[in-house]
Amino acid sequence: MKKSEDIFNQHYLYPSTLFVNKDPYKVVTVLGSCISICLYDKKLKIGGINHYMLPLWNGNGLASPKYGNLAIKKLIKLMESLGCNKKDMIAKVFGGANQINSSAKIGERNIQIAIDVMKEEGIKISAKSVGGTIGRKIIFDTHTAEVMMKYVK
Amino acid sequence: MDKITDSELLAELDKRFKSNEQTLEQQKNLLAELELVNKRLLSAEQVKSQFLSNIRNEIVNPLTSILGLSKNLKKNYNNEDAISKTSTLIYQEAFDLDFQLSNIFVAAELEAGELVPEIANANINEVVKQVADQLQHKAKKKGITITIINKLSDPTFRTDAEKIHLIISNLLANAIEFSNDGGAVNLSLQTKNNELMIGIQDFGIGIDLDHQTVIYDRFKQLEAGSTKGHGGHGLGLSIVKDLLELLGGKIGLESEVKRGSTFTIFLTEGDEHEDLNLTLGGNEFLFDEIDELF
Repeated sequence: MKKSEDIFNQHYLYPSTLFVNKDPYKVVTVLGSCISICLYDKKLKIGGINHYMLPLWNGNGLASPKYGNLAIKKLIKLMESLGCNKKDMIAKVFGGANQINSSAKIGERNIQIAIDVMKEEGIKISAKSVGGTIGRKIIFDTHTAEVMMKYVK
Repeated sequence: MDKITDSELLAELDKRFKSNEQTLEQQKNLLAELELVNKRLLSAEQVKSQFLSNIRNEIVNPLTSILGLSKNLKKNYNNEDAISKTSTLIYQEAFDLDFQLSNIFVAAELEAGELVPEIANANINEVVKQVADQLQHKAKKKGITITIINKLSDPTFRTDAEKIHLIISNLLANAIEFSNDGGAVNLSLQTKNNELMIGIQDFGIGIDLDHQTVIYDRFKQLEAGSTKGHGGHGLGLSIVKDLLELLGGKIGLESEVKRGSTFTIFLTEGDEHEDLNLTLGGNEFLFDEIDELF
């Protein structure tokens, strides 16, 4: 029989979208060259996550969180709208695998923007699993900041 | 007081002069940076105000028509013919307004990262027919015939019907907009190896190669010039592209100037992610499955 603590809210995170909720959620997403940054406010125990595909918005398409620079700032803003504070936040970064035959090295550039923006915002990256050539599936617990990760081929 | 020699005075003057020069140089650099930021802000501001004035037309025009028409309706309350005609016009104007607003809201949701697919069994024949029917009045105004060339023998496809509806609506509305009066627009449907293809073909003004890559940019039509005089807020194709990406699809274009354009959307069936319950199941299952914990 299921114990009561086994019942939790779930959310599947699509690429180019964001998820923040003050209630505990387990958020599932699958990453290739994309990156997810899991942000967590240690004081309020609130987590949020993005899933971006490309590093930089060039100002032409819709200004969506498909682009790292926008996705990270938008995620921080959303967290702040729930009362979170940047100084209480930690970040965990996942993804950015490079397809073997890709010359654009999108994975690498995606990783770099995560590191750069976190530094700029003064948020510590407390854990990461990035790069390589294999995709990842992650489950982020927004209440505890725990991330379970599985490599996917 | 100590006497200051001329050479000491000169040295001090030189030092101060140099430090002034340095400050000046720094100020110059700062000014240049400020100018750059200002330039960017200005261009962002321009895009924004162009967009606002454009959607103003898209919203105010139908609204003015609706107001005028409903006033007419009141005057002609005992003329059945007039009532029928006017109410049809009111519906069409309200439909246009609704369509434009849907686009603006969807763009806002996409930019907020809030839009997620809602996958279910969709009848693609029905969706396409509905779009064609809804835009019939626009086609009629220009004497354009919309034809659905081939339907699917098995029209059931797992996707987000509402988003497909908006995608095809935008493409068909564009096809009508950029067709010559009395022209034709064809819609064709086919599936191949689990992939759905929907083609929207017009025989209108076409798009030259230079513009083919930028048409999906937001607000691009405003700057393009060649499309001036045509309606729209410049969001349509950027929404189409992003919505398709969200659904795991893509878009292709074949076009020739003065011959017309064919936009084709390619879609694969979507997953609902309802199996999330199974994947997350009990905690034991999870811990068996994972490679690393962070």
